[in-house]
Amino acid sequence: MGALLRQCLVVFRLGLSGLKVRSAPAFVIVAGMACMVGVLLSMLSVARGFLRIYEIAGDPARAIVLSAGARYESGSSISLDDLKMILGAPRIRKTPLDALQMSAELSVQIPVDGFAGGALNARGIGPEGASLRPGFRIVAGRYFRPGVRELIVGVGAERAFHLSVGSHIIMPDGEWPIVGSFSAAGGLVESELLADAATLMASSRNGTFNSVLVDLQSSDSFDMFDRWLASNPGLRVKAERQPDYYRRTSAEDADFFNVLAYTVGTIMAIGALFGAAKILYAMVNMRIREIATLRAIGFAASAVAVSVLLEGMLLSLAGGALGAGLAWLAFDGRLSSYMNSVFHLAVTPQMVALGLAWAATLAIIGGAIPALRAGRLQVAAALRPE
Amino acid sequence: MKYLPLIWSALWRKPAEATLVLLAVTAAFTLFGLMVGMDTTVHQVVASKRMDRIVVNARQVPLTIALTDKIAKMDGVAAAGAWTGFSGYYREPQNFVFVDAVHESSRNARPELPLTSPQWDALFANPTGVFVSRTHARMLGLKKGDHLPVSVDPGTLADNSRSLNFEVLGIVDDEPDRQGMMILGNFNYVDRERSPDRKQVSFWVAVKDPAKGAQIAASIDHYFANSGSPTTSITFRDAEQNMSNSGVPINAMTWGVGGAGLFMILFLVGNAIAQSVRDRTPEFAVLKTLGFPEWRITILVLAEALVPCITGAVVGMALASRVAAVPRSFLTGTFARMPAPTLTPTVQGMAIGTAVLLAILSALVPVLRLRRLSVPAALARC
Repeated sequence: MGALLRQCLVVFRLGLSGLKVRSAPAFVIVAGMACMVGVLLSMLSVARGFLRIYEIAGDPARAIVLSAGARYESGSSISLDDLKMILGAPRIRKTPLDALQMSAELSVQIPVDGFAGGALNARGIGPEGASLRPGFRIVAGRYFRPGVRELIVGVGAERAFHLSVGSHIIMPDGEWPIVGSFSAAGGLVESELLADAATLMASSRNGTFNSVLVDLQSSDSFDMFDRWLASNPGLRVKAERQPDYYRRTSAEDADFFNVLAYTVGTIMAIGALFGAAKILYAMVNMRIREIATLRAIGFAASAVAVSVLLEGMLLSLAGGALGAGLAWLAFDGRLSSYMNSVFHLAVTPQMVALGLAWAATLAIIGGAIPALRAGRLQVAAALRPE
Repeated sequence: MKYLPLIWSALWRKPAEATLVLLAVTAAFTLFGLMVGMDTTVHQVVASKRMDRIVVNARQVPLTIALTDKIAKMDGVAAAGAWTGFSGYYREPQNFVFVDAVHESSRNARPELPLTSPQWDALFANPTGVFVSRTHARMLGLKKGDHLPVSVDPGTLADNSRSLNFEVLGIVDDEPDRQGMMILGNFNYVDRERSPDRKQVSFWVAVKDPAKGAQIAASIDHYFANSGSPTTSITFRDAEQNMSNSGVPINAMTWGVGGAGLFMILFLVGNAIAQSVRDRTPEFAVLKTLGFPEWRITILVLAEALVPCITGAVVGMALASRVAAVPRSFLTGTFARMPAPTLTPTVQGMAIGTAVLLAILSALVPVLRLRRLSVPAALARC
């Protein structure tokens, strides 16, 4: 076994030193894999970035309460009476000053100028609403005053829709000024406008809240909280863990991006596979005398075959790394928007590993036949002068 | 043409390698076809939308039906019709249903809707009646005479019930709009059944001169800007353009990906031709000795490059067409949302043109090398 390994390495090193001569075909594999991995990662970065804004915002110790049967916040309606009852539920976290960590919220879609079909979400939040958004902080201007018709804008929405502190937004009852902008660790609230819930409720003709966001004492408290709500005869509401709600509502869009990415990636991979196979085949043919000589002097067929595979693997991984690097440089962190979510594209280490794995797999499949050819060579025939 | 055997033998000198190159080129062009086809579809959908139709929505407070006359009397307007959208699901939450509940006035504003005159009459005579487009009916398993109960979220309806019943009066042709997902209903019925604080009215406006569409949309908004009910108006085509701009940036993505695929095989084909010419240098030396002019040798090399490129392009586009032809109804969920690629003659021509360009670029360096070939040195290598 050890001898075989040593032989492999010798042949491999021999192959590497010969790469300088065969640099053109080697480059073709590198370029092909770079294109494939680059395209795959750049397309996957959309879904990843999109999902991330939900992942940052979601916490298993938080729950969203919607009215029974509603699938989305927009279709849910929770009255003030319902809210009073929900306040009595067990396991809601309190601050040291005894303030209940929960926020009754409602959303109003604001059409953006000349943008039929797309809209900004203006969300009315309760007094504790900001503390339920991880990493929330005002970055410019100030927070809105309760009871006043004022808005604050998330940095994502600010950039994507060209808003700023001082801009005015046409709300259902007139123009409201934006008095500040905020960030929230990249969570989904950065795509929204925030206002005081009671003020927003008075201005739109909505008499009810859409949802109640609740911070529970711990992740395990959810079951008790949920059961209490379900068994309360006066309440027709349903609680859902925040991450679950986000997963459910973002799944369709995220799936769309991912399916598109993998479909395109697969077709690119097929092209890269045939290309790599062709090049490796040609490279073996170029080295036919060299390989035959090695076989003649006693190197094992398997050692030669494996070293061909290793060479293919090395070139593919180099190409994959190049493609991943380029995708990262060009796309990671880039601002993008989809409907009314604003997010940053993300090329993560896991995605890079995936890309490299694809490249390596293609190298093995594509290199199989050339490797076999190198191993099964008819030594005498190959050594004969042409 | 007597050189065809020469070209053919050159191509198939190394059959395995030649086949692999062909397969790689085919894959790249399949991707190119799908991507450019999708982009073409999106452009076609935008272009198919009318510039002489405007949709008017509320900007702040809901609009009322009384505005119909005011809009109809405006400069350049041929007709104005009211409608309201009503959405929910049929049986399962994933069977999303959107009903365009139209008022009588819409008959004049949108005569192009696929209803015959008797069908329009029936729609207004039967409040609960709806007409469903063919594709949508097939997806939901509906036919004429069926009941269509639409399940809605709590608070949508005045009586707080969870579903509104409709009767399918007939199946109509698909509209190019909305990929065949259209249901036309009766405005008065929906308006009456709806909860008072969820009432909303929108308008369709037919404009006399398509070129003035955007201008008239702006003037409608201007007219109502300081009234109690400001509006936001946009032509159908501009709305579609905005919609496609707000989604995935199809344009950048499709050309980027298509281009990346071609870039990938550019090197492959270039290398393959260069290798082949290098291997056959003595052969070319002999041809030169025999008096072959430069241009003829160039043609030979170019032909060798053109065959895999053009074949790959043709087969690749054919494959892309087959993929595009898979009926929408067979595609589930995510795939159904992707625009089906349209492989117009322009797209196909683009593919062939790209294949030719690819072949020329691949043959470029080898041809130049052959021009500078030293015949005696080459022959000495025989």
